[in-house]
Amino acid sequence: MQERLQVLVLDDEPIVGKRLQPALAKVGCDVEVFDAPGQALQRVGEKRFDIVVTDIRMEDIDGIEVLEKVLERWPKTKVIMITGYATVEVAREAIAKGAFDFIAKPFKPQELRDVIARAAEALGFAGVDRAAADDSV
Amino acid sequence: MPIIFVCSVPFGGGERLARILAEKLGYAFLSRDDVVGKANECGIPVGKLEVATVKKPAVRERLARLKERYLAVATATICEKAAEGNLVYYGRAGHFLLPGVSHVLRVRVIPEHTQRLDTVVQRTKLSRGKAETLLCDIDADIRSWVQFVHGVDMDDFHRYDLVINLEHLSIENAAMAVCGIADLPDFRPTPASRKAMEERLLQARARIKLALDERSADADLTVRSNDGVVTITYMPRQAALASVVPQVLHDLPGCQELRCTVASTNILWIQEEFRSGAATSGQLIELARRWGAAVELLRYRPDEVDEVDGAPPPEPATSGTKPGAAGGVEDDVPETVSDSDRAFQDALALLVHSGRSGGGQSVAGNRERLVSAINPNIPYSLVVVGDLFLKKGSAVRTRMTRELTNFLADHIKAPVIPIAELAARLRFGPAQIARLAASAVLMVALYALVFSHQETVLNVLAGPFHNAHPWGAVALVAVLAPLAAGLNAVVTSSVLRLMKLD
Repeated sequence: MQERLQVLVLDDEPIVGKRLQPALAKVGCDVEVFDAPGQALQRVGEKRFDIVVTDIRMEDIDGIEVLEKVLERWPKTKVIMITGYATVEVAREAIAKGAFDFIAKPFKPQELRDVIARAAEALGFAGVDRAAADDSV
Repeated sequence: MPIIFVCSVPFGGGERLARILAEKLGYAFLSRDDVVGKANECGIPVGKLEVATVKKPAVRERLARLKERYLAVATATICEKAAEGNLVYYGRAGHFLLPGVSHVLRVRVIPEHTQRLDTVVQRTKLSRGKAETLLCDIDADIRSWVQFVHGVDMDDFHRYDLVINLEHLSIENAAMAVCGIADLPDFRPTPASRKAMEERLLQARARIKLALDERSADADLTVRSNDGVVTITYMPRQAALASVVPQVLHDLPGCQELRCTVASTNILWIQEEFRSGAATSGQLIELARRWGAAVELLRYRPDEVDEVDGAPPPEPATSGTKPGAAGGVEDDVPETVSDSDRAFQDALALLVHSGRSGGGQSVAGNRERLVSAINPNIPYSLVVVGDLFLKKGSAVRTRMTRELTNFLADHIKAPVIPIAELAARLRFGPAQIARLAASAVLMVALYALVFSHQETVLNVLAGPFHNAHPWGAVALVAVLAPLAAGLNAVVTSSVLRLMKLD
């Protein structure tokens, strides 16, 4: 059986996780959703996620810090940044610090799924679509 | 006093200089962050433009329209703030938003590299090597952003009144120097300059209102204002806007009169596949610029059949944010965008970007279906038939394209020409130069010959030779007059083409 892609979604707006969870589960990802960066980081400390999707502008801890902490704990995890306030500077800083990709809001779930598929491929997964097929068996 | 625009790359001391300047002069301070915040409040996702700069996707119509909206918000925000009193603005290239406004002092700040690097290392905690790479990438992105958004090279120092190199100058002293220059009479507002700014503000406000109203959001409109008269020009195929625009702009502050006009000339380009970066796009845009025309694209697929016969042609990709987008995650509408659709959207994007878009549509089916898709109420000035019947062999393709061109010429009240002819008409290369030179030499020789032999010519036309041989005059006129007219026509048309006045 194909291993399922473990994805963590972090955004301080709960609606984001609520919308992304089914959109990613549909393609065979196991998704855990958080709206508090502290709790998300605690979970990252306990479990290795293949992909972390995080917002950048959050009240307690910003997305760049989340990126740093995730990669410090799990260097192979792919971190995808999402934000409604993207700037060239922040995007470049995130990439310099090891972010896999950067998506500006508003976006369609398909846009994120495409990036996740690329990340899964980079991690050696057969692809998120393949994972979905296995799930249906 | 002038509006002071301080432009710099990030982390370069420009913002600090601008803040000190505002404090010393007692001016209001506005930064690009404020403008971006205002744009986001208006529902314009500026982050999309920023990320597109970093990821460099193919240009899309959506981005070109987004750019127009951002520029309108930026212009309105700066003008409104400047109207309240004196202003220092810090950003990437804000002064390009106010062409024609003379009470503007444009300052470019060149950062001191080591200090800039230290700032980035301290802020990002990256190693010096990585920070150096980060700065190079950011600078390249910002240059590319200014080029895309304003269409200019931000490093062209002719576009600034003052360039300050912070290598040997402290920010405080630089601010003092700028204060002195800002006080010069050269930068004081004049009635004409103030008026130009009011016009810019009026124009920007009109553009924003039109962009934010869903009835006009995706229309290709040109907005101009002069003496409080706002003129909105729409494309002929968007005739419904004639009634919408006055409703949208009925309460536009500062607008004394609203005129809504249809673009006078339109060029229709029919082709099966539009390829991004094709030379024809550039040629048509150039022609459209000369004529003040818009270019409408019609993608014609002769070997396919419309799924629903008689259904209205699909509109090109729309732009703008979706009001229902929750938390920045839009509805998951399945998209099946083929390479062909993408190339078509890219071609449209190029036209939107150049301000020459007349819209686009796709049509499949026989040639009658094609003619029925061409709106007879649009007064096309030119119809250009590009590459069609791509699945056929070369000879068949040429014959069928020629037949379709003739068919269209019979059914459309506009000149219809194949694409190859367009290139020949516009080109001014070595062959055209040789033709112009040869015709000019022959014309001069002909006139010289006639004027140096006036007696002989008069003799043939009305003298003893004419009395003896009356047909001689007829023969002479029959040869010389068309020859002179022909040479004159070649020279005149070539010179006009050279001057781009055809």
